[in-house]
Amino acid sequence: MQVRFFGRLADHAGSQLAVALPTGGCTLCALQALIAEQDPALGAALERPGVRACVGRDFAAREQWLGDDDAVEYWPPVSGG
Amino acid sequence: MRVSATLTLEPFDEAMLYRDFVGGLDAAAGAVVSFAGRMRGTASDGAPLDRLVLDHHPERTAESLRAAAEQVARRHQLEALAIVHRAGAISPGEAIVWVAAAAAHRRAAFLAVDEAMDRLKTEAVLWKREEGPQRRRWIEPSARDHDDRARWKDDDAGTN
Repeated sequence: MQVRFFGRLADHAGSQLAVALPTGGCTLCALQALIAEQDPALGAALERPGVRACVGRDFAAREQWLGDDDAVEYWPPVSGG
Repeated sequence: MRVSATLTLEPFDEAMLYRDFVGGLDAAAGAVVSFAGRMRGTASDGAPLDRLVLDHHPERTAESLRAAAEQVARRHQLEALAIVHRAGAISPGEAIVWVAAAAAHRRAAFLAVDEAMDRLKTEAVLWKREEGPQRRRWIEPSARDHDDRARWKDDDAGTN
């Protein structure tokens, strides 16, 4: 799965990171743990207040189940124009 | 009513936008207000800046501009409303955002532009970074920006 990052989150590993999900998928929380294994600084940045995960078009809770076809993005707080 | 919201990665000519906007108005539009927000060469603490970078989302940024424009258009009695917003790397002196409103009377046009800017400063899906010789810093909306945004209620179709 390609996970996309915006704003300050892209400072760590760029705007996309390939993460191999376990067979059958995993929760968003587990995905975040996999990201933190690959890049601990990015993992810590995802825990900062205001960071939201988007699955498809919706902000998602940590328990949400993910499959390889899901589009996952992490947004820091928006800056506005 | 004519409502437009445009996201662009290229510099734009404010004067040309204004000419096009007023050129499309009919005689019902007795008042036109426009605003341009331009990049300053210094940060809020006076540090020199070389550029401002607005990271954007491939779909959601344009949608957020459109949503702000539609909210503003619903609240005020307008003939036309236009929002143009830059993303990408912006140099000092270049316009970041341009908003214009046309209405029968001036109050609605002034209020519409004011509200559009307050909404854009907090709701536009953009991530802003200042870059200068001494710094590279991500910016988030200030408490003042949130206070300004709180002046406008959501989905209030009042005549304000």
